[in-house]
Amino acid sequence: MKKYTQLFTFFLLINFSAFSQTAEIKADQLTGVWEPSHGKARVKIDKIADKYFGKIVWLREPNDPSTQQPKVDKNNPDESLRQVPLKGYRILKDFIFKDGEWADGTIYDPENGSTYNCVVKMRDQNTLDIRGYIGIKTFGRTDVWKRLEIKKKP
Amino acid sequence: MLRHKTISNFLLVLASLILINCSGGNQSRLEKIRVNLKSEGPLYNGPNTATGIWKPAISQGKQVKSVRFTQVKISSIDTSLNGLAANLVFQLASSNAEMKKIAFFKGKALSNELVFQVAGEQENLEEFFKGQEITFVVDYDLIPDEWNENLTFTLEFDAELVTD
Repeated sequence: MKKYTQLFTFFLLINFSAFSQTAEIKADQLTGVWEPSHGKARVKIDKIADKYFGKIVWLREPNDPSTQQPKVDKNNPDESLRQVPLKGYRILKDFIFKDGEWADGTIYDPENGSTYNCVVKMRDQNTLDIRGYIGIKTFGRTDVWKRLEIKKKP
Repeated sequence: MLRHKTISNFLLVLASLILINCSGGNQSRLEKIRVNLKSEGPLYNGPNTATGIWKPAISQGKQVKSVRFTQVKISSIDTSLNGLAANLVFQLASSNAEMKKIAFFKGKALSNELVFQVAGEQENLEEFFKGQEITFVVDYDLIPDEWNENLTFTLEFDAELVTD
């Protein structure tokens, strides 16, 4: 009987470990370079401290037409941060993978200096639904982002 | 004369009591912190990230009430940052707090020591000190097309910590 209990515990542990590994692999599918539907920027999503963050790595128009200088975060509510360059800027912050989506994060819109709550869903390996909202998810807007380096289906 | 001295002493004690009450027993101290950050090579031209972990050493039973970064600078360790990096942004990340931008350096690194401009608004930074560890994140632009080694540097900063 003792042997059976030990065997059962062993299989349980293996299953649990396999499950957590699968969950982590699924969560990490978010990492990579993505392009929003407007095509004006490309965002690289990476993992830091068990959360997911996205930063602008490419801008179609890197320079501000009025100054001819690299674009900066001129609409930031904190005046002391308005000279931070937009290239390299982290616009997606603090996403946690739970229940098959990346939630509890925020998205920053440099065009108006506003930060919105945000949830990310993966339609398929190369397509994301990024929903920004204020307060309740129902009142928001969804944008479709495409992966830049297309992953082939296994 | 004696009465005058008694009144003065009384006022002194009263002022001390008021000061102790107003401070709520909080203690303020300046921490000088150094953290090594690393970007694993090979690195390519454009936006890159270096990270380093720091474990806050807060005495047991004490709680950090507020934190304010007053000075932030970076110095090179193995590799000279001179001509290698530009537009460096320093942020804090943690599993129990939202990422916060602390300071930035705009332009090309033209020396081995870079002094950052510190953010004016620094709210709720104490949340980071409630966890086991803080991840220090520096986003930067790599100037050369390719860099085949790791990039390591030291982030030094002064922070005013108020504990209870």
